[in-house]
Amino acid sequence: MVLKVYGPHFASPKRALVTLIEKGVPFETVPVDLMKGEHKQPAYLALQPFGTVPAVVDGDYKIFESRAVMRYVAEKYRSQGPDLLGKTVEERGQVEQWLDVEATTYNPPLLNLTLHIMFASVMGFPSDEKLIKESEEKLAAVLDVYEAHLSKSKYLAGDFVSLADLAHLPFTDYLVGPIGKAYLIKDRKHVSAWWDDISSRPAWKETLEKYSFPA
Amino acid sequence: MVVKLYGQVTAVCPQRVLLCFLEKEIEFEIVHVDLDTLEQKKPEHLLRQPFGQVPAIEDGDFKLFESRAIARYYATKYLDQGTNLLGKSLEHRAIVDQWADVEAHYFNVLAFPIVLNLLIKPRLGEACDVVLVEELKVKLEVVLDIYENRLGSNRFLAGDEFTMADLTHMPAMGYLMRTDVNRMVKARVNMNRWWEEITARPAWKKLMKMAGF
Repeated sequence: MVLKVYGPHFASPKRALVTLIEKGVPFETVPVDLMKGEHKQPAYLALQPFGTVPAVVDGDYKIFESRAVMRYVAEKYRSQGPDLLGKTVEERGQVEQWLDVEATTYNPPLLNLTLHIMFASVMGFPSDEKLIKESEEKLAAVLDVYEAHLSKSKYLAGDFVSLADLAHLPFTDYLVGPIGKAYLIKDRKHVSAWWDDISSRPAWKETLEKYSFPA
Repeated sequence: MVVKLYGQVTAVCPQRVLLCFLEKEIEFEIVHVDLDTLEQKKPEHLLRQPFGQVPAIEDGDFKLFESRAIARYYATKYLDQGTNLLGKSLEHRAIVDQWADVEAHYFNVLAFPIVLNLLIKPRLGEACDVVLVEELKVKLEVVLDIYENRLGSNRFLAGDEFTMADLTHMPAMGYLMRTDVNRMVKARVNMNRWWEEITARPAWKKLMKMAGF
């Protein structure tokens, strides 16, 4: 039985999808219609009790939280594809550090921009201009730290690409595209070079090609 | 050489790491970084933690920040010593990771601003955002219902043993329980049972003593 990823068209599930593709793991996807509220129905809540995407089912085994899924896949398929966890316990520690930075520090302001610029009208709430401005400033300050770090390190956790880099792909893709704030990335020399590198990886291109939100 | 933890013993994120050290019986040294005087934003600390936060660790040449990453590192490095915080199999470990991530994304986002407004701001002479706190409490009730359900069929969050998933909740929960939010936990049979059990652990009691409680 093949591993299933629920909600592939949305950003967070793409963290799981790109990891599966990098590791060459076969999988299927199951669309979840957020607009119709499918994620709040009992059938979906049985898979993910917080009603968010993704959820993953691997035979009898269920797991949610996109970064937990990334870790699971990277660990289970350690011996195939690139080693996305580093080679030593210390390298793994660096991967975990930047994965947590993405989750606690990078993604929250970026998520605000995503919701208020891309989805406010569709979801029917007023777009908060003050929050957009504050979030943009916060994200800029975070990216200044990234710029300094990436001037000394090719990838976030060292000289190897890891889960920490991949975790940034889905929402940063929104940032340089539909959110319309590519300058935040492009105006920073090392962040820009890092972004060009990771976003041109074949696994990411395949993720976008197959699972972009239908127009 | 003993690992140095830069932070404040009363702060939530350093406590997460300290609790891990205590559960794993790892020797450590605390180097106090004074949050009340914003020492964490000063150049010396920014060299250790470029986002201006606590904690950060230095273990010989090895440096790390982000409390959950630090806890995972030590839980992995000292897997066979003290409490096993990471589960018994790959699948179990992933469930531990799942609920540890839930703490960061669903629980802490509500708990932290509640604690900030109800406990920290008054101490610093700042005004509490009462409206925000009420909104957050409503959201927290929904999240706690999910935990209540989970703990109805599981002794601990990731199964029948205490793991990182439970540990990572404890520092912020400890402060929440010092506010009127404690009635939300006490009103839920399974959550109450879980909280009583995990706070009876010797490592937690040691941490509370270190923090002056």
